[in-house]
Amino acid sequence: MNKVTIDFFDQAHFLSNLKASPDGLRAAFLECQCRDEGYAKSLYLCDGDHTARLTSDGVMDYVWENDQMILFSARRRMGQKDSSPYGEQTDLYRIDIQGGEARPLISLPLAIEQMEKLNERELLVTAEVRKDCPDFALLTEKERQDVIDRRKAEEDYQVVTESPFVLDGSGFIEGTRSRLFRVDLGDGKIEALSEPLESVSQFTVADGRVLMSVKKFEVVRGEQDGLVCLDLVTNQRRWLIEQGRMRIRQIGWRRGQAVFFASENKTFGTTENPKLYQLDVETGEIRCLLDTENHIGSSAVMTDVIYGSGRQVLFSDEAVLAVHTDRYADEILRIDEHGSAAVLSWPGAIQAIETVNGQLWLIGLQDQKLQELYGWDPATKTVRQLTHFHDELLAETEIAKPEHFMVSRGSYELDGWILKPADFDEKRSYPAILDIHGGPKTAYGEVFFHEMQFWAAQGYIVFFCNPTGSDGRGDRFADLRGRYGQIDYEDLMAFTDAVLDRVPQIDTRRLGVTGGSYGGYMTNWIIGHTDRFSAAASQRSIANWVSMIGTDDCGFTFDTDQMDADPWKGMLKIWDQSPLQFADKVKAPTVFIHSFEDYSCPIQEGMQMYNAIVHHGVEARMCLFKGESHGLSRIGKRHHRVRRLREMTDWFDHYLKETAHE
Amino acid sequence: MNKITIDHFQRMQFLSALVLSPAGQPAWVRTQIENDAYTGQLFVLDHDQPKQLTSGNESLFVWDDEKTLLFISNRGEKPQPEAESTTFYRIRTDGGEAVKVFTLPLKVRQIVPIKQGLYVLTAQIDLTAADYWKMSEAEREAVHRRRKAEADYQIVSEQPYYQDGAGYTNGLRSRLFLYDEARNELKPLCEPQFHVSRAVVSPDHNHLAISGAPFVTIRQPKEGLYRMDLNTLKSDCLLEPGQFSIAEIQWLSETQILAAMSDQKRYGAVENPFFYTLDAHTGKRELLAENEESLGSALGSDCQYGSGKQTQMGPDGLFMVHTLGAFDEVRCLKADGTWRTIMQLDGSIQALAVTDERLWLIAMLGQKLPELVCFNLKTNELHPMTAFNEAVLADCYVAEPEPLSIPASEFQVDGWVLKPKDYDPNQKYPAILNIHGGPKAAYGPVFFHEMQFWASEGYFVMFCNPRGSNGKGNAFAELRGLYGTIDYDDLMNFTDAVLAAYPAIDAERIGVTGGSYGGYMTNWMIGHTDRFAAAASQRSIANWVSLICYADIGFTFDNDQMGADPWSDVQKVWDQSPLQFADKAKTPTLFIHSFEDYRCLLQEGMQMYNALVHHGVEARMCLFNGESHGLSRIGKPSHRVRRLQEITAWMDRWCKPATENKS
Repeated sequence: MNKVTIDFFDQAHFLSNLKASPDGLRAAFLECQCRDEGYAKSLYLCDGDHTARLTSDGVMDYVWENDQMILFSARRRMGQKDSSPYGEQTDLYRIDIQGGEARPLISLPLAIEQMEKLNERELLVTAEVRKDCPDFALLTEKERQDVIDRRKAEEDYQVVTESPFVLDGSGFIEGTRSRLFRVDLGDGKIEALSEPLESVSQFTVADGRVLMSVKKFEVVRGEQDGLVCLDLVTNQRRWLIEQGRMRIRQIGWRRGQAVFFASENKTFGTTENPKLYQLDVETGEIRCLLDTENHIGSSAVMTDVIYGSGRQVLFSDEAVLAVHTDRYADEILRIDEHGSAAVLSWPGAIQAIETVNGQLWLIGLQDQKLQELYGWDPATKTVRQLTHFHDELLAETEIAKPEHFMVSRGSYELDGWILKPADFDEKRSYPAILDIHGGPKTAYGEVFFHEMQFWAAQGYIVFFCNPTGSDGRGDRFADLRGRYGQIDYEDLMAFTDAVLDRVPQIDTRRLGVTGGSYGGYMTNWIIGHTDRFSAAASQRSIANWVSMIGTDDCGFTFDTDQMDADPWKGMLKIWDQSPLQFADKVKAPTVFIHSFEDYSCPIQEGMQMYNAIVHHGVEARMCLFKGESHGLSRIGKRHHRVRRLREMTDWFDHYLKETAHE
Repeated sequence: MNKITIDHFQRMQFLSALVLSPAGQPAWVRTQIENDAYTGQLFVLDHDQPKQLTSGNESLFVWDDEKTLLFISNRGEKPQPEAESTTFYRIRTDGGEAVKVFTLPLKVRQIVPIKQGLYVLTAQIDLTAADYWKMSEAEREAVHRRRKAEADYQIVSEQPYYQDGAGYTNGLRSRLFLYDEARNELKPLCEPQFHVSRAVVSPDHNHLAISGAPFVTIRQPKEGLYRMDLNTLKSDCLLEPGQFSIAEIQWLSETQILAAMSDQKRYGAVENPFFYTLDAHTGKRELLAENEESLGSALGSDCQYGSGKQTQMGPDGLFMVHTLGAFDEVRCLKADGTWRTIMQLDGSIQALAVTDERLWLIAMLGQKLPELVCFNLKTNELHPMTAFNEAVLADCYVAEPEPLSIPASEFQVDGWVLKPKDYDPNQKYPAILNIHGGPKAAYGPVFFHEMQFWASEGYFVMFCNPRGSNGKGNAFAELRGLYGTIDYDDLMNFTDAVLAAYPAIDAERIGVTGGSYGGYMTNWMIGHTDRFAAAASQRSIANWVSLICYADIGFTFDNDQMGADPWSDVQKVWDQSPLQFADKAKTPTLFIHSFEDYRCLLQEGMQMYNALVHHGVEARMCLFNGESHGLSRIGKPSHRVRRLQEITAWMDRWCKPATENKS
């Protein structure tokens, strides 16, 4: 048997974008592998019995053109950058699912983000446009070249007039909008359907009517969208929901009515779970189809072996199907005017769902396996694994199983897990690592987690839990506003106590703690409040919420909401929730992992904590990553992901492994 | 009369690195701007005429003998970023091309000639390959491969780990080497961890005085002082690290070292140094002269490039430049501890070199650009020796700074006003208040391109040295824990006084700008008064709490200036932070910041910008790729133009009448 290695994720196939053919007989999906040059995506086809690869890699996105043909956007050479970073371009290809290579169809002067088929000849797409020339796609070749030249001359400068002007993963988003276009594939004619200052977050089209969530702004890019209905026949456009009322998530058509998940954020702030609404386009009447305080519309369960996802909500005339996380496992809910019911409970995490051939298909993880495509037959109520990307790999690899247990915290119980090395020996003593998830509104579940499996394979006991603030247990449990570092910290410490009680083989002098994002915040907090951890690895962390609010990509939406204060109303309240304040109490040697292009938790946060503890005489190290964002551990370059895990593991080995002290 | 244009500085020539030959012939570096870059060439004074010796790009040289210069240059080969290498050339001053003489596997930063063919070199080494200098080619190749493989990562294990202008410096040290050219032999003179600041050779060339300190994690700003015997290469510590911040060392005699240093106990990190003598063998230290004044020139200008020595042993003591109020002077500290003023200058001094008879200066006289000038110590006559920039300002409107001072407690705050081009007392004019950085720096009535440009564009320009500035002694410069209080009052009182004295200024159309501390003060002002119609906040500070924890000088300068740190008194730090008052701001504000500013990080401008936008204030940022805190002085020329364009366009938009905007 092999152990889980530091680069095990190399051998994983990441699945996403599951879409059924129009006749519903089969589905396509994207398969992706992590390569030195980047993530290589190709298109696969599955009819329930057979799965086959359709394209070589370089695929970005696709739509079914008809039952026979798929249209996909691609960069056909891996690692290839845009021919000009100043222009806008997407190449479309067409492939016949019955065989033959893909053929280049058309090259569009649009940076396409999302596409949908409108009719036999036309597509609706959103594309990223820039305020300096939102009509780039509508210009002549010569005019476009002028724009490109002008942008090139500006490459040394970044002018900012909006806020926020950065977005993690995208970099500087100053002046960018997602604009809706109608594209004629026959003659290449392009028509803009939304205004230059509008940004279309999502759209869906049915019967010639486009439903879209729209943000129109000049300076401040808020969180709340409006909902717009655009009739492509009459060219009439109506605001169904005014901008500023709600934060709108998934949208769809159902029996000619607009259906959407949205939250008003009045009760629980920016992380409030959405409710499902149905809106009569004619009368404007809104009814709530599902009034819930629970997580709905996506999976909250984390792992580091996925890349991309897919639709987690399906709208149809009969009902709305939606992924929902209950504590630490996923369900698929069926919702209609009569109520909601779980149609499938999934002991793991779901990344995409689709109805194919009367069955419910899903891409997901369960049972410590990597991602596969599964089909659930409502008639037999059985689940069948449709793809087998990892059977062989997993059969020959030693994989540890997390043991779930609950810790009582008076009025509530915490879900926690212990991951022991596969060759766990009761007579030995072990070092252990507490791993803390980000969010804080996300959740750990019982799914394969590479970094934890690797540490278990390296002889560590890994323990992790969902403290107060986590997702999966409703808005109230997730509400941590204004009390960061209090109840969540106490939960984590009580959980650690319980783990030590349960597993006497853990050497209490050899405990490590790590986490990223909120988990890095909590790591910084923990080292300032207890000396029980002998080493810490603080990833993409937060040190000082005052600077965070002013520098990250969601300072005046998420951060101020979570702090329940801003620097003008309660600077001290913010400071009291900032780990930097306690840097003078720290003793634990700490390694900081941070990316230069992290705009979620800017690198200056890790730097502040690093400098503060070094100033106070604590042993510390930083490893900073160029060309990476907040997503380093999930979507970073292959060798960067290996280096990240190497840095942390070396640090823990140095301070926690017995040999290090002998 | 023509206008001073936005790119006028591109026509200027800048002088630096003035060094005299054994017989007293001056050589220097002349920097000019070509193809959007700075290049420096070596010059000597030949029969009282400047003579250009080299035509490459040079910045570092020494005199080998009366007729020969040894210099470093990058000619021909493209430098490999992973390699450590420096190539030396010789050129004769009486004719002939430069000849390549040797290449060393070191990044040489300073040359101290002992005698011809024997040099003490300061080189930047990298602790992850500290033995690079003595490795075989194959071993070096392995280091290069490793550096390439590590290019995506920045490991940090020290403090500070970056330095503005130098980028990431983690694991780098300045190490001393002795190079014997005849034997082609390189010997390190100190341990790899030891970081050298200064090395000065004794009069008879037998000893070296070294200031520096070893460090593993935290770089100690208070360094030690050492004496090395150049024959035995043995060294002794004369002063342990951790006691004094050392500003300058010189040999008084073969047995005595003069050190300008401060224990920083009275005025903190910016305290002006006292002068001490140290016995070169016992280290016995005696206070030679107390001193409350600046060492070196405090006067800023944006028409300088490169630097030069501002202290040197002269005929009867240590000659040094210092700023007295708003003018520079040269004074001499004699061995008996008494002072003598050598000369006072209507202008500023960038470098000095002295012989028994003559004092050579690179100086800006009156409203002129830098030139080499000679002061005869016998006759006390001053002669300009070069005219590099004579034509640059010819036929241009150069506003004469009109002095205007105000009282401030027991002090006087000096300021100046530039009148706009084609000034007509019956017209109304917009104005710009310009605030210098530091805060311990000073304006003087010297040529300042940005201000002269604004005057040509029809603005009154006003600027002063509020409390906290340099040039008036320690007590005047003291601002610790007082940021935004007395300095703010001085600037407001000065503005009032200017408005009273110049009724042609339209009080509704005043803009304010400044960089670094000046950007801090700009941010502060817009949160405290609405009297300004527009603000341009350059390389600014918004939040000292974050700045202390991420700036390159956070725990050596910033916490000292605040009089607190985030653990001793966060409220005190916050109370001096402009961010706190962002909710009061109404002034439309432009932010100028560089991505590689490690002194006042980009995130400071961002915090203030986002806060203003959040509170509904009109704001804009222009951020510069590939630039440091020094954008306005040493930035890429096209970037300097863009910076001034941005600021001027912003001022024009808010301070000029709409009709004028359209033209």
